[in-house]
Amino acid sequence: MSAFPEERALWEQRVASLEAASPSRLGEAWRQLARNKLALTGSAIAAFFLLVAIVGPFFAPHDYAEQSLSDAHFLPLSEGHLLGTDQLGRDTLSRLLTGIRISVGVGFGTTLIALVVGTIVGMAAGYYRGRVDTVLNGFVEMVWGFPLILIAVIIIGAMGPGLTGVVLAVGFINWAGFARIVRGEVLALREKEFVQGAKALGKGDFFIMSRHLLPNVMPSALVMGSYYVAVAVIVEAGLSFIGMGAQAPLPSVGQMVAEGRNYLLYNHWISTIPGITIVLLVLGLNLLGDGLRDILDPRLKRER
Amino acid sequence: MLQYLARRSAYMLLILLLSSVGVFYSLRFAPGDPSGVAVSAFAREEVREEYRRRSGLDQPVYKQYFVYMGNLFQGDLGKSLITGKGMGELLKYHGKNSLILGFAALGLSYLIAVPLGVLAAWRRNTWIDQASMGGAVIGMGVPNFWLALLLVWLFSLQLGLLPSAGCCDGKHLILPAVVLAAEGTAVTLRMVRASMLEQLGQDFVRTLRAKGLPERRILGRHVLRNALIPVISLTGLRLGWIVGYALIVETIFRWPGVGYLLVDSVLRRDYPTAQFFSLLLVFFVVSANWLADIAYGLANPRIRRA
Amino acid sequence: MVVTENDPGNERRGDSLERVVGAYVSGVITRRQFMRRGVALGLSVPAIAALLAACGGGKAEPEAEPAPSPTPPEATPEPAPAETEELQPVVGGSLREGYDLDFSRMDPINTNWYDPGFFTLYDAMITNDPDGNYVSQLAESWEFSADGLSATFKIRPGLAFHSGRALTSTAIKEVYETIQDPKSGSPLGSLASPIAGYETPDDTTLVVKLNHPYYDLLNVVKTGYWRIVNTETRTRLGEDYAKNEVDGSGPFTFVEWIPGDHVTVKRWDDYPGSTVPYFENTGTAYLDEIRWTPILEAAQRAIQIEGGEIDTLHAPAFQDVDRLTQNPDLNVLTFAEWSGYILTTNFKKNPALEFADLKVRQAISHAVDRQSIVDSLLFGHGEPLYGPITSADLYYNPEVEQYNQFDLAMAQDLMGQAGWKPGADGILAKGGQKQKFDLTIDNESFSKELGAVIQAQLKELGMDVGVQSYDRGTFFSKILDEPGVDMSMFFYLWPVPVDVVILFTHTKTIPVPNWGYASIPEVDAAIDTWQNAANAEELQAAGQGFHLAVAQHLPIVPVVNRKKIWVHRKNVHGWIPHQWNLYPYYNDVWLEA
Repeated sequence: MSAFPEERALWEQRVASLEAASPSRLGEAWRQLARNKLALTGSAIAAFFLLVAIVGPFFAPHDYAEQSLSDAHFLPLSEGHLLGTDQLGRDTLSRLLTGIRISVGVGFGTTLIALVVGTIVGMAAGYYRGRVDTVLNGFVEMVWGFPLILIAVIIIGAMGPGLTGVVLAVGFINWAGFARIVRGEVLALREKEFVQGAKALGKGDFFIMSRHLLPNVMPSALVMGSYYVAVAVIVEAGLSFIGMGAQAPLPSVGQMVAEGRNYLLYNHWISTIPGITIVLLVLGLNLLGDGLRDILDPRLKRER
Repeated sequence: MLQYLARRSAYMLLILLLSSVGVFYSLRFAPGDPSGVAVSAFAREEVREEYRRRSGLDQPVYKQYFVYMGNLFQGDLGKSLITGKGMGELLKYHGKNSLILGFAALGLSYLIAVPLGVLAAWRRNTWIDQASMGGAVIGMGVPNFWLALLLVWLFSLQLGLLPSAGCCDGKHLILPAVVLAAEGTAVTLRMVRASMLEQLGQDFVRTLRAKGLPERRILGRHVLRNALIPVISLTGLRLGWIVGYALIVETIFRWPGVGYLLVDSVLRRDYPTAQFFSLLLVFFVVSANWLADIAYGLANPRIRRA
Repeated sequence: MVVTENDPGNERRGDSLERVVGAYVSGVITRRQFMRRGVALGLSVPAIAALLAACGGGKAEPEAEPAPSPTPPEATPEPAPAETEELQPVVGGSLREGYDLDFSRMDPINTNWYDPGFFTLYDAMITNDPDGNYVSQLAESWEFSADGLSATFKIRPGLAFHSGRALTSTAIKEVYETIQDPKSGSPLGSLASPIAGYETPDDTTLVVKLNHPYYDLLNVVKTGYWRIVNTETRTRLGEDYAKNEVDGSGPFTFVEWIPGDHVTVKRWDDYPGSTVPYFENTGTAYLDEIRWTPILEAAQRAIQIEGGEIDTLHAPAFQDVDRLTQNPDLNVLTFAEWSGYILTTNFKKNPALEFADLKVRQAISHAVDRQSIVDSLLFGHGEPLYGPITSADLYYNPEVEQYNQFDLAMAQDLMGQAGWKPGADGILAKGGQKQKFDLTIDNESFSKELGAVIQAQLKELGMDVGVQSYDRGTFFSKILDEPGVDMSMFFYLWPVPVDVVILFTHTKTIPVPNWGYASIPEVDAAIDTWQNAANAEELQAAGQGFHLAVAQHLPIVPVVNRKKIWVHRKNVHGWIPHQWNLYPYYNDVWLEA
């Protein structure tokens, strides 16, 4: 989604700007991160949500599935329910904490897997070229342009609704994006002197790939990564919204918005609170991605 | 160039083939089958077995696949198991609605994004730039279903200006088109701006400025054309993503397009309809990508010359 | 409005009076009818007048003037539903109606569910008027023989189907025979088991011969599944019937069905007219066209009628009812509904869960807090079901209220008695088997909420329940394909609910539609008594006996009943749903310009 077009432009620019590639851009990147306001805000938000996802549910005041029909529709800031309750009397805060865990988990989890798989495939394809490249790149090209939601509908239609289907669908497509970028970068990098030099010195392929190529490839991959997490979060929420994602009583944030939509005129908080949460989470991730991109891309940075 | 072309075409065909298999198998893997819908869930098992036999549903799946593909190539697209309507008829009705929605959304997004993006790049770091970029970031972050809820709440419930769902006139088109266009607009906006900025930083622009050309001409004649190249190749991808997003938007607004039909037919196990429209959408997306790749190849001198 | 009577043992009368008052306030019956029924209930005229004054008028009338005169009711001025006195019906226009489920194929014989469209396309032999009496539709008159073993129906002459074929007694016989044929897939065929055969001495006489006296026959033939379709057309088109063509005898003809989107019918100009006494319009319909839109999203239904996108609506979301009632452009009509959400436990599929043990089913039943479901999910528009059927039913037995009350401690105790102990994770276990299973529901938004509540309440008992929701077509497949599912939740809706609950609970109807494989001798016996009832009194006693048997033995576990809520915009006239039919008829409906 937002990832792809950016990626194309980014790729072109990266390839051109790799004249100045050096083996350890990563360290420099970290330092610059601290100085860039956008990236800082974005990472703060993303880190916050990550933290909430990991430890939040431990602090939940109630069990997320605990219903209390007589306590339904409490407004936020009611006693005992900081964010109010939903139509079945479940504590919104507790559900939100678990929902964030699910969304972030799905987002980061699928992206991590996609990142690893994509990097490996892209690296292998770009480095070895020849037949390996043709085959691997063939797969990548085929999968890359697919509308994620279409695949999800078909997969979920077959497997039945549930998080498993969502994870499968998202993972099925997103790895290709990473593979594409990594391959492109590796294709450019492998001609560089330091790579040729290492080869001449007799260093093994694996050594070259991990020590020289990987660190240079990681920045772009990470930039894409933050976008992809946002994509995964939105897709999971959207699928849950139309009933194909997480099932009751699992409180996926998308599902919370969905459940609340029948009560918009009666008690809008049921949808509003999780809705705002998704917006903030995705915003944070996008800002992080933008910030990272700005740091890592000297040409664009000059224009700012 | 030719090699590039041939490679991309080969990929397209391969995808279509694999997708057809994938769609076919996954539908049949799902629980439930059309006999409960076409005949009656309350009918005796023998009656439904009879139906399955007659429709060839008791054959092994691969055989069914070949029969289906064979029919497809002979022009027999199949009929809906639920309504008996032919695929052609369904395509006309639902396809028309989807095209209307898709082009409205696409048009809307470009209409807003391109001028605004150019403006933002030209007036870099002014309030216009900040505001557009801010809007774009938010536009990318708000999930479309939530945006749909907000717009419905505002325009249907509170103001009573627009209908909350349904089809098929201008009034019903506005909200779904806006929701569908939202994310694309944000992305395109950023893309246009970034692309413009990149071009503006090129040496040839400095040269033109040194020559004394008015800024407007530089922008309009030289910079814009180059800047729009990646945006054009973007269109192919955008179409693909609109197809994907349209599924959700159509379902929310009950706009009877192809996406809505697809979700509905998958849920009801209306095999012929689900298969045909899945393949159709895949074909559409793949073709759009293919065309975009061709356009990109033509525009990018490195590839064109190869 | 609360209506009370100070007679102690008078609940029955209070019920009827409340119903009559409700009908009057909603504008279903006229003031004259109200007075007549009030007198029949034993109230004095001043009492009735006071009631009238207290209740105000029905629809948009000026405040009812108190009329304490002792003159006979006929003399009081007749306001009737005000509109039809002051305004003339307008011919033409298209009615847009919102409906809360998706439509099924319009084949009355093997449809899974019965939709409003059937009331426009097909007629039945007899139907009900707003007072609950049987009235003529296709049949002019009917009578049972003295020995109760045959029923003779006189059919109106000169009737025809949309395709032109004459609608004779033979055509009707063909329909009924098809229903009885198991291959046809009719869900109600077993209701015809007492029927031995049919005779058609002439084109306008149909004699139904019975194996034993079967007074319930009238309740059966008035229902939607027994509406008259042209079997010749149906056979000719086979499973394509009702996809593009429908052949009935109702005042409208079929135009199209786009699943998930709409169903359209248009006026049949050759309609011979109707003899249903309470219809004002005895000729062809006023409306040009009717278009139903299924609106599965509960909140959308209210939004659409408030916004004027639809003219009439069935079943708004319960949380919206108050807001709709206060809307000056809308009328909200509330009736008792013969419906219920029921849980079906599968006796056979997974014996280790021991659903066949009465104690386990009772435990499940006692763990469900029905009253709070009514209060919070239904917003008060419904009632708890301790027996299978609503208290508004003719055959209701108040004794069922002793059973199935919410009592978590008793539920846990019962499970303990059955040998189930909670494990370390809180889930009941016995001999290595946990009480872990899925609850299968359809994907309508209210079903999903109710499913979530049941899941949570059974969790308190120690059962680990997962909820699986499917679209209606797949839902029926899942529960009806052997061996079925462990537990399902189903919503039934039927004008004579005893008949339909019988189908879910009789040993003879295993597995379809008794998809729980319930087989309980006491329940079977109660059903047999009902089916052999020869007259109204016997039917009454048998009905009450059946209510009690189900509450005691739980072949199904009833949960809650909901009220029937209809909404229409004030420019829609003649649209009169009432509680005896599932949906309104459209013969009288017209739109004010």
